Amino acid sequence: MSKGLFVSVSGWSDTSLTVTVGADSEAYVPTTDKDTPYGYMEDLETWCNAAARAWSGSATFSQSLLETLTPYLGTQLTSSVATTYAADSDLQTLLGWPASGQSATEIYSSSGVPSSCDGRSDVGNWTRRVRDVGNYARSGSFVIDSQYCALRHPQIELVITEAQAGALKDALKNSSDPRTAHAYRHSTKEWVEFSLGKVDVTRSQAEHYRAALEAIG
Amino acid sequence: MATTPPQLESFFYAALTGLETIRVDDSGTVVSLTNTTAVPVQTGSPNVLTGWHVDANVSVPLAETYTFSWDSTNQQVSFSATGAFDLYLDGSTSAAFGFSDQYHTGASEYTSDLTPKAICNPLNIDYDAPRAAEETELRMLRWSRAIARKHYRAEVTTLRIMMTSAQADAVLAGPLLTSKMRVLPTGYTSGAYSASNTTGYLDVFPYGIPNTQKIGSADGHTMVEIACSVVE
Repeated sequence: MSKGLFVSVSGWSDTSLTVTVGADSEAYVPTTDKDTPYGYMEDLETWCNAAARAWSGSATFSQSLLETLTPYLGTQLTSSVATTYAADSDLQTLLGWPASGQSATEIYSSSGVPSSCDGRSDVGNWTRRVRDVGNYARSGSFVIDSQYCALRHPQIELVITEAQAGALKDALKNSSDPRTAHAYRHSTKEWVEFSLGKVDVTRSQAEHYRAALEAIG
Repeated sequence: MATTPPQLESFFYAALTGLETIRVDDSGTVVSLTNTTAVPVQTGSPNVLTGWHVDANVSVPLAETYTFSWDSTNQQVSFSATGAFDLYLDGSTSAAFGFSDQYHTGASEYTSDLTPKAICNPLNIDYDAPRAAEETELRMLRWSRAIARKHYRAEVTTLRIMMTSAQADAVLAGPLLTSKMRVLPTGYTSGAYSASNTTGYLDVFPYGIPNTQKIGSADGHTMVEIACSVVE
């Protein structure tokens, strides 16, 4: 049920992951420097499965979430064929990955992703809203803004334990500037990305806290 | 696993005149024991009491073997040796450790007769999980793109302490609230606070007392909230 939150950090463009399938070996270096770990994994999966890859057509890759590293989250990359991975030290730090894959097909976090929290997340009011009305006359009307471009003003909250509060605090402290985040939306089983403002953490019970996130998406 | 009782203890600074030095004499030569760094009274290594008695035990003029310690059961600081010695608690050290007299002579152990001001074991200490205290600016740019700039300031927390009113009178007026202190919460076993050790000790700088309340029979107990920034 939990899922949780990934917060953006800097430094992805300094990382390198070398993927080797058979005789084909290529390195992925992101061009986006500030990103969340979830955003990085999505881009990595897209890159691995792109037609330009030497192994295209003979190997497919998928990324997935690890939820066993509480109070953090973890990430995993899995291949359909035997693959070796070599993650540099910067990537190991950002994702909690080892230097090389743990099995013939996968590499995954052996320690929690530092910029994450596996608190129970939920996202409400994830809709685009144009707040002002336009003008009208007998000849026609126009809207004040484009609904398609309007921002969402979601309500995003986490219910977290003491340990998860510590993980959230560290993720916020080390976040990039400006910053974004990915939170899990249970109703649609998807991760949503938004600009992350202030985070209010208040105690709701003896050992639980509620984190209210200021977000625009 | 055995737990240590909740505890507040002050940090002593080498540069803070009046709290850095005590003197002992067991052979006719008075030896100064001086703290040369910033350390808490008792918890962790190094600390003030252990540092002083280690120095005493390697000091050539001193013949006895010394042990300086905090007795959490009786709420007393104890300065003891294997034989009689003279103890000089200079400056503010006597008040800090709960001694009404600064100079003691003729015994092999001296213990606090007042409530110490630099260390105590309240009945209960609880702290909120430290949180990032940030100023953020959420701005919307053209084409409705939003960016959020964060300006990290510090980690902050709130201590909630239940103690006897005698302890509160000493603690709230003494060195504990004027500078850095080490907080061992209820349930403390070992080590510093982290996401994997949520009952670890916190080193904090208090910056405010938002709430105090006397409760219980004859106002014998005090509840105190102390707002702190966390040393990182």
